[in-house]
Amino acid sequence: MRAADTFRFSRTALGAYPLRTSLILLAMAIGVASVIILTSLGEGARQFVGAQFRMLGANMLIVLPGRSETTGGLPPLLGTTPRDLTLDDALALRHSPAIRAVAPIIFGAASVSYAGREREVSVMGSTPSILDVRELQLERGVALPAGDPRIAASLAILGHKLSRELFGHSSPLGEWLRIGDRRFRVIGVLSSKGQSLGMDMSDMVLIPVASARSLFNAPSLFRILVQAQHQQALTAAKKDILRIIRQRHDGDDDITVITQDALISTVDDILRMLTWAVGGIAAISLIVAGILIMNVMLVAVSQRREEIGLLKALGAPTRQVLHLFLSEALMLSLAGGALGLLAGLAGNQLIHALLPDFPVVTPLWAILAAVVVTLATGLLFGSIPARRASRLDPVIALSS
Amino acid sequence: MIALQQICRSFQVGDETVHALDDVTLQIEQGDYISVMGPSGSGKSTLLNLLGLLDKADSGSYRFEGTELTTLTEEQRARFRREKVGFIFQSFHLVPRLTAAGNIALPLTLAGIPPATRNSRVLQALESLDMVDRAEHRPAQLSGGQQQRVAIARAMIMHPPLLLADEPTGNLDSHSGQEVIETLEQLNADGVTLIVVTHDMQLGKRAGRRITMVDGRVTADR
Repeated sequence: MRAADTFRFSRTALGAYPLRTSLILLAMAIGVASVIILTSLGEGARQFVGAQFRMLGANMLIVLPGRSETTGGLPPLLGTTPRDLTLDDALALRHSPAIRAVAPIIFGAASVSYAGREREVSVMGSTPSILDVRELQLERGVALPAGDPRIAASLAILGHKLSRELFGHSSPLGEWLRIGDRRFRVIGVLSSKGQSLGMDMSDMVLIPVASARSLFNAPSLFRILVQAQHQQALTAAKKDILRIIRQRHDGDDDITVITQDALISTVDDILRMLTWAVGGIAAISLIVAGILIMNVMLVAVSQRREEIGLLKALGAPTRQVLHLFLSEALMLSLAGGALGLLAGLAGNQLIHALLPDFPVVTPLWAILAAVVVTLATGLLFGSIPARRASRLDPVIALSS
Repeated sequence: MIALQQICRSFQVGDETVHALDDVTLQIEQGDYISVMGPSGSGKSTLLNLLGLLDKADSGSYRFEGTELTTLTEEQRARFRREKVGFIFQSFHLVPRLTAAGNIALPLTLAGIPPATRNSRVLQALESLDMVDRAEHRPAQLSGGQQQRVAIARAMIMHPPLLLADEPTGNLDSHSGQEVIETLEQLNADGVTLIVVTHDMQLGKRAGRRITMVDGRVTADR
């Protein structure tokens, strides 16, 4: 039998039962569309979070006080609390050739007021290097002075949003505002950069680290952000940081260094797993669709016994009957798969239209997997009814 | 043309073994017109199914044009049915979703014959039936007589030498039945071997050779 004839024969057979055929197509399409949409959302989430992490700044290391892992040995009698990170620790890191910039950070919250308006915002004490490390830009004004960071200065740089809320559209440059119980002069405004990891850089005020130290009466640093010279220097930078701090802390490894890349790849791995898991769950609906195909095909085989007997009487061998029914199952699953693919991509467009900031990325592997699974479903679940049809005894089939 | 030697075929019905064919030996010549008569359950239909290789004998020999058929593989049996046998059924067995032309073309389609050849042969068949104007009708739109004539055209489209008809007029009124019988007899006159299984004495008497069966045995052969 010619392929075109097989195709036409199967098509008219499917067309003879429009409701049944369209229900199977629907089930198959829902299965494929859910695989496409869910994996696209998972992949989008992965890229979204990855981008968020990258916004922290390139080649960045984060130095935290305290150690995240324990080592063997007896617990010390008196117990040790980790030593605080100090500004001098941070300044010592500058000596490493692998390190380009060091930004010590003191973090706190204080009320900021200007001309009767008052807001409670985050206050970050740091050095001018923070702009490089976090890849921040100034919209107007100048950066913090580059002198000795141990010297306090009553200067402040406002986040974009904070500037808007306190000063409206007029320039805040040169104005004096009150942070906590001290007065600071505004020397710059940050350009609007998005929120990254819950830290909204546009809704905070940046002051010299020494000023923050006295404002919050906190001698120790919240953390130190370090920018390595380049990607390849990250490992060397991490080693240097550990070595320098160990020297300064009497041989104790009491800090934790996190590389941004390690952070990204961990989150990346987790989200990739999540995408696979979600895709796998959606694939279950494909299997359900496959069982539906099998069920409906079995009904079709028993309804078309007479026709099967006739085909055999007209000289169709077992193999040919098998092929005819398999091709019906394949056509169903492929057409359903194609519809599902279109519906899935359309759904992605819709999500993209509703959430323009969220990247909806359909991974190629998901499309390929959906197509392959669709084909396999058709063949697998179609083969049982097809086999049953082909083994029908023509005498019994024709006498019904 | 056909030589059956000691053919036996039995079925298990519940605890009982029913001998549908019990030691049947028959010679059939090319161009014969044979009617097979007998009461229900006498094995007439089984004989027809066996001659058309829809059924298999339990024992005995079936030679067709000198070839032993009982040892054929399933693939070879299908090929034999396709090329050597035309079946006519009491209930027509037309595919309801196909047009008259599509039903007639079905054996050609299954055999993989290209559409152009197919179409011209189907048109020829429709012309000889004087049913060209019904080509695109579906079975439900045709009368019983027309349906059976479409079925005859389908049976003859591969030009088989053997035509097997199981109660061909059983579902038809006498006028349509007459038409169908005349069509079949015309084919026989053109050289096709025709074997008709029937209850209808009137119809049975028309055949040149009349076989009567009782309980799986041939009791009369004139």
